[in-house]
Amino acid sequence: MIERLQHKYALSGQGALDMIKACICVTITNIVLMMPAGILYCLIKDLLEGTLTGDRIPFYAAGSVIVILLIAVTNFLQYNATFLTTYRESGVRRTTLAERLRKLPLSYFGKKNIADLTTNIMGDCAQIETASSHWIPELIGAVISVALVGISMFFVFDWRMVLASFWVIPVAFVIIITCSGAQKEAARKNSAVKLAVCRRRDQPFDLLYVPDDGGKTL
Amino acid sequence: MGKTQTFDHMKLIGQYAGGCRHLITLGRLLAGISAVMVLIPNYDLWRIISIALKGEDLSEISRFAWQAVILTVASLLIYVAALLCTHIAAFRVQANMRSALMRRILTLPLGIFDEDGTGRIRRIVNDSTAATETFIAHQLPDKTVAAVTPIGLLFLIFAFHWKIGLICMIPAVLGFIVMMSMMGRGMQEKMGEYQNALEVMSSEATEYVRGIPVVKTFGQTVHSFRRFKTCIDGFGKWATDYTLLLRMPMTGFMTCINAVFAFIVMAAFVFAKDGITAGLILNIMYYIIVTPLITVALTKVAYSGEAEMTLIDALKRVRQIMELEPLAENQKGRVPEDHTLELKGVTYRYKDAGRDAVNNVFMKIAPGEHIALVGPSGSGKTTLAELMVRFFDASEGEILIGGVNVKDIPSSGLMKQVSFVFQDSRLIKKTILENVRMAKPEASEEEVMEALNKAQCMDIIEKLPKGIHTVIGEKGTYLSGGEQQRITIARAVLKDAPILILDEAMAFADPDNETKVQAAFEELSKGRTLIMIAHRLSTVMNADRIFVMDDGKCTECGTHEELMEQGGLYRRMFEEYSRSIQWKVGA
Repeated sequence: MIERLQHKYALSGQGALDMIKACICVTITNIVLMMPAGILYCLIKDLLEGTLTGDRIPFYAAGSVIVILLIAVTNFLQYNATFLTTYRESGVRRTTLAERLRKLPLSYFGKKNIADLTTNIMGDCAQIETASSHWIPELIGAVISVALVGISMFFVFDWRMVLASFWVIPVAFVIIITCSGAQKEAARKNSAVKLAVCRRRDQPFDLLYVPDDGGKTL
Repeated sequence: MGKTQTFDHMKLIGQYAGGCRHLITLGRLLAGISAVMVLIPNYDLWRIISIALKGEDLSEISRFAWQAVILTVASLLIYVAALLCTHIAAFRVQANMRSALMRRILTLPLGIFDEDGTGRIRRIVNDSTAATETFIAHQLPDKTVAAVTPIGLLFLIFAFHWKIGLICMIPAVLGFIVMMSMMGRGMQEKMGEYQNALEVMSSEATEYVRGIPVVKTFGQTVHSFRRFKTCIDGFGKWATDYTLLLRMPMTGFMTCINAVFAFIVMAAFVFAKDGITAGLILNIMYYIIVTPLITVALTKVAYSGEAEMTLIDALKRVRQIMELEPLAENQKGRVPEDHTLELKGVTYRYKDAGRDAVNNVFMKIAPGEHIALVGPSGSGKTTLAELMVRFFDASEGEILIGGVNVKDIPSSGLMKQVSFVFQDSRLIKKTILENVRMAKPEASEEEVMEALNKAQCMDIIEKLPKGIHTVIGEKGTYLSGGEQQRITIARAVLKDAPILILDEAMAFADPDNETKVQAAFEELSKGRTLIMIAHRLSTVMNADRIFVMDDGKCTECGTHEELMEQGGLYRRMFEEYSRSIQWKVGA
């Protein structure tokens, strides 16, 4: 699994481990963020049954403090696991790429446009950075936590209510999966056009070095 | 939030948008309407809970439910329409900005590209305009939403039970304060630093990649790699420090906005003392549903602030380019009397550099003389040559051609006097004919062929499928560095200018190419003034005079024999060079 992650998101071994950690952190944070709902559930129950009296205060006070503390701690950990580790990993990735470039045969540089190469190193690295710090752990964490909590809710509450509130998630996924082909295609086209623009846009820069009548023919 | 008083970015965007300005306004308006509409279903919810709790007419429930669904869907559709408007406008703005930038860049002195590195300018043309596009397309409508939603929310929160509402607002206000502390003036600076660090890294990357072939050919050390690595590490360290700085505020903010539940519990206890009524239960349930919206709204506000900072930074960078001084073109229009090139106390210092790249250089080069500039790398040889063709203007002193200051010669006139083949003279993606003809647009095909012949390019032309009508750079028609260089020499031959500046850049040349390039150079320099920036000393021995540059100063001058007798820097360099040749032969 670690190897697959490494390959898929261009990570080092450490980076893949970090990403798994980040996903776990997001999952835990998400589950903790659902705890307030539990306390509020008790509150409504107490209100409806008329049992909201003074002797419930210790329960709610302790519960609230514990949950708030948990929220603070898990958010802190998630921050470390996502943002901090990402930036460490990004340096490693860029250096590895640079090393790799150095070892390529000379002919490669004659054939490849330098604009493409630098766009690759810098732009893609920045993209991967945002992806691995924001989207990927968030998404995976969200899926795991929602699945865990959703399934366990079926055992506790009225299954019809659970179904009513969770049907959106599978439906959303179906939409995303069916559309992802089209979206990938669009993204591929977009980046092809971008590279073409890059190359064409480089031409004026090249032209500037062309000795002619003071750039007038441009 | 994050706003600088002096920078009116919306006005600037309006200027680039032109007729599309109204589309932006329409998009924002639609986004605002959709933001209001999406809040109304919360009122429906309140009604539904109320009916359920009080056991009133239950058939009413489905009416309110449908109303909520319809409003939600409608607001979504309106939001999509808003995005369409802003996207169209955004693409227009981006295109306008880019073409304005490119037009501007063409008027700038060529030296700018050496000084700043084209990587930086490329990045601005590309990324800063893209950032503006994202801002207009996504963040502008979202900003309207972020502005309208809190107002609607305040209504939703205070209209039903303002006391509970007030209690629920406490954590939100706390979170907001934490966030403000995060977004202060320092943040704007940090954003700028971040962009700068990225920029430095980007231009270092370009330099690094450009340098790889040279490094490989000469088997140099990994100095350039180390520089790039330092840069990467620097960026990484900066980013880490920055994230560490924001760690506590961010945790605090997240905790605050997620602590609303505790306050609802508190409110329930406070008001339950007066007896639990259906109305109280209704309100508590209602606030449980509504308060998460505060979190969502606050996060939106937070991100819109960040986006605005990115935008302001991007626009400032674009403005930096627009404000660069074009090379002054005065109207004196004087014509040089002959082709004597004279430098009088020429000094040049790159912008923000600590020392002069060229310092107080005097030299006089007679027509037809062949001179060589030698010196360690970084000694100012190339800068000096670039000053001669007015890549930029000397900081002090003057450069005269035929007794006339180059500043007083119109650029077209100057270019008739001087040809140059620099290291990075490159070909563009057109046919060879067009590439060579750029030097002299009215040249006939025969003239071009003759120039190619003189520049020893015939073997290149012969192997190409369509001869001189082959488009360079298309599939299968890549030329090697040495071949490209010969084509650029053909360009200079065609131009036939009396003064020729050559950068002897053999980084790409293989042995076979080298002799050909050498022969092409010789052909080209016949009967002309030749200024050769020499990297290898074997080629300079035949020069009429050799100028030795060291740390920006011209320290020695004379023929090869004279300089060898003087026993200065030239002699040391030459001896070292001879040794290295023997070394290679020995190995």
